Amino acid sequence: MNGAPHITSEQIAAYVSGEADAALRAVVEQWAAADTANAKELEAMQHAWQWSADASILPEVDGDAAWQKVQARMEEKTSGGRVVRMRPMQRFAPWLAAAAVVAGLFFAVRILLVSGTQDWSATAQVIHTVLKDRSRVVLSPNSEMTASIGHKRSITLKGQAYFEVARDTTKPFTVHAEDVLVTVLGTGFEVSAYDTSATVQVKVRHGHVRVQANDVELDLLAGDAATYDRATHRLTRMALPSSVVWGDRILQFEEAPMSEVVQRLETLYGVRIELSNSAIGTCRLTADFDNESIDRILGVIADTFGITVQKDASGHYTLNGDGC
Amino acid sequence: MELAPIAAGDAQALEHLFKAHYRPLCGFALGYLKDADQAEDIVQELFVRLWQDREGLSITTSVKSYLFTAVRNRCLNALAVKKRMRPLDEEVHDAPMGEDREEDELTERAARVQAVIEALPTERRKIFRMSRNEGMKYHEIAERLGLSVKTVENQMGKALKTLREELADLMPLMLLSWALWNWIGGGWG
Repeated sequence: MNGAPHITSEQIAAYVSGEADAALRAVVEQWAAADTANAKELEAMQHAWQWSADASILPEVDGDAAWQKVQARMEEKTSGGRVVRMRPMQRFAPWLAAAAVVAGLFFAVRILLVSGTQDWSATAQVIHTVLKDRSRVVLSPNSEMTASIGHKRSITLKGQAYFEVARDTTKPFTVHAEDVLVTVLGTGFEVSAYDTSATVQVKVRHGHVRVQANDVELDLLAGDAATYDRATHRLTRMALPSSVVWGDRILQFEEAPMSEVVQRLETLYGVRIELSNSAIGTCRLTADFDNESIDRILGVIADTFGITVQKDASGHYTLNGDGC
Repeated sequence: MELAPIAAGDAQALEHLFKAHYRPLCGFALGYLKDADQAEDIVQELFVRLWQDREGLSITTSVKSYLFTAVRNRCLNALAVKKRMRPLDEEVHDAPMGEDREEDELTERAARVQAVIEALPTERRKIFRMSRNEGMKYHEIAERLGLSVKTVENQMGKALKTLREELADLMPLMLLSWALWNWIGGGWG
């Protein structure tokens, strides 16, 4: 139009970004002056350029990892919600009753409302509790925890605890254990920081947590774990072991040999389980059990491997069958 | 159309939808929240909810505009919560009338700009950022990425054109009146 040269968006981009040389600048300006539509176009491009000046930087997000997180949570509510579904009201009531009965004997529960923080310490027994934000905690024996739930959700931990964090994107949930800081965005995970152990460990059951120690930062997803070495001050990523106990009664087995599974169950449930055939010990179990009874767990295992369970008068179990 | 399989329980359809829009939606949320983690969280949460409520899903607009509107609402909620949560000792100034609204418009615009940038193809976005936000010269970008200067020029042109087109409705009225004035002036001249 008006005999002015045609201008490409490349040329305009060079012009607005200051990359144009004198010759190109003259061409663009001449083009803009030739027609109001051109001038309008140039000004629109200048606006677009200006507005993008203070755009924030979105890190190169990993769509696959993000999708995995969504997927984990899709399943969590639709199929994996067993923890909540089983007996939502009763699950934590018993410990209150138990606390009242055996308080002086086994453990002490201290709740300091005045200071806005709550303290718990477990000596011999596991403590189950629900924090003010509805997050659930299973505090292992010989552990202490201080929780401050308000504008922020901050936990200080000595020993070991398993957390099911209530989702609230506006209030980060953090756990301090020695030099290690764990930041959570709605998830289930465990932190072990016993004074007697050489390491601090973080294991993630589902969701996403961030672990920081000495300027090193690791993002952990479901099935990940991290270890912080107290002596070398190094934080490293690890895979979860094949059998994991979350809290005190949530078990997760991933290709775990039955010999190991049996040992776990014996310790956790205080029972004796015998294998009539050592070949059963080589069967590999992949299963999750959320607060199930030992009878039910052994029933599931029996169904899985086509074996039978026998319980004698003294409560001892025997697994009979061919093995795998 | 894209939603029917999701409503019917096809998780793969959700995955496609997620991967197609994740980054632009995060960018959009980032424009509001200025916090990349929170932005990602809000978008992920939306898809989780979309899945959980899939049976009651009824969307009258396009899927894309539904997603952006949903993210926008979630961001505004999060911002409202943040505002309410402001500690008491923080200085609270009474904004003069209209200032809030102006601020809202700026936030809205930042979100739109951000969404358009994040929707650019990866390489083009990278080049645009290097030029726009890192202040690098074309030849520096070309060198860094092992491309020709011509390619950088070309990608920058395309990026800017996309921004201009996608944000057309935000171009200020001043521009129109200025154009009009020019046109009248031109007509008389």
